[in-house]
Amino acid sequence: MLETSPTSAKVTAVAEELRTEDLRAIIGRCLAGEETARRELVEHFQGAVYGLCLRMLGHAQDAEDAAQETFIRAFRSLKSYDVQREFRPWLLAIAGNRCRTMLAARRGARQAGPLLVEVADDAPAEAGVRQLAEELRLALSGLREEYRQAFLLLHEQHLSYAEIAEQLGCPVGTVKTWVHRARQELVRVLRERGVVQESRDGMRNV
Amino acid sequence: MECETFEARLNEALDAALDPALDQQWSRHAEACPACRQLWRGYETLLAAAARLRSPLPNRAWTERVVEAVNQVLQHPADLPQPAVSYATGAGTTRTRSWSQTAAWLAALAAGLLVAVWGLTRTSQAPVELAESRPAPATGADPSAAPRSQPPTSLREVALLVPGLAASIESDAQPTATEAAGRDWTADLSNGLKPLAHSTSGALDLMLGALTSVESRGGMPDSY
Repeated sequence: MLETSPTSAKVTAVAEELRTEDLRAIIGRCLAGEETARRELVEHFQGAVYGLCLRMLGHAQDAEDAAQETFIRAFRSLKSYDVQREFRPWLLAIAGNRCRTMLAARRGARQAGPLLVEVADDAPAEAGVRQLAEELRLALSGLREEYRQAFLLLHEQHLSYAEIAEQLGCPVGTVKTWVHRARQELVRVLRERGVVQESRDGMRNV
Repeated sequence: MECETFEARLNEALDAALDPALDQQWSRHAEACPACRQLWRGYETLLAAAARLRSPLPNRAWTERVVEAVNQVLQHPADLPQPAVSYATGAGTTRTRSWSQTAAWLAALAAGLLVAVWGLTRTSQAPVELAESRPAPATGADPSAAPRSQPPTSLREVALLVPGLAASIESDAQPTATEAAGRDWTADLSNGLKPLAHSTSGALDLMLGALTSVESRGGMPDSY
């Protein structure tokens, strides 16, 4: 389900997992050539694909290009997709390949863009919530790249440790280490900033 | 449970990866130890904030662009290179290969090789053909009937090897009335084909000199 923000042209994807049978039905309609089904598939997975590309490439423009190429390749390979497998990991594997190709091609020629961190705005706009979100964004921008990447892929993109390891091309143990160190560093920064408190009330109620 | 163990298992607890028995011990220690409780709440706050993260999305124009690109690709699949491997296994190469482009390159390469071989074949056959057309060396006792054993050294001798042209040359070798009064063109032609020992500016003089010497001799040169 998608919602369009009234203040911008961006769409807001509400996390909603498709049931397996619904997804298979959409894929079947795509294979039959139905253009509305293609749009449904793109709109449903654009968040996951673009998010992964953004976190791997660190640049919004590159992420858009990689995500677009991902969907094109996915639709062209849809006939060979094994319906017994989960579609999301299959699609994200294509996205990861595209990102690695782009990373190999540019080899540091392009600097990463500003860190994009968005927080859900569906809750009441409490001052504490907004401040915490801003503090988290600042703390994330100060992390080492691999720590930040692993943390966001886990907590923002909701990939498993195994999926993150596959996308980043490293062992699962390494990913866990990166995530743990990211958490440790973020908590330390938030404590120094006075965001994290000991008491049960206040900032803990987010 | 000791504080050291509590902290060591902290991330497992955050990932809900503790087994039930250990999870109970862990929770009891968190309630009992103020320092560990403080540590735990800090991480809880962090994860609560992280849970509110939303994946950034591109704008709607991007979505439209992607859908349009997908529709175009599926309508004209030949315009884009085919993927080298299927992504069904989730793994594949990051490079794609255009089989049609590869086939075109191979065809062009094969054509170039054929042309080269054909050219070399024609070049190598030319001296063979001349050798075959050359009469076999004499083995008998009649020297007057024996064919030439020496390669031709002048244009006239080469021309004599051609059956139809030989008679014409022989007849031409006899001076006509005009030629008797003037120069022998075959000798001039032969002389003109000799390697130039002088610069090109003197080539005309050389040729004219040859013509004059023939005229002065009153007809055919002695070499014929």
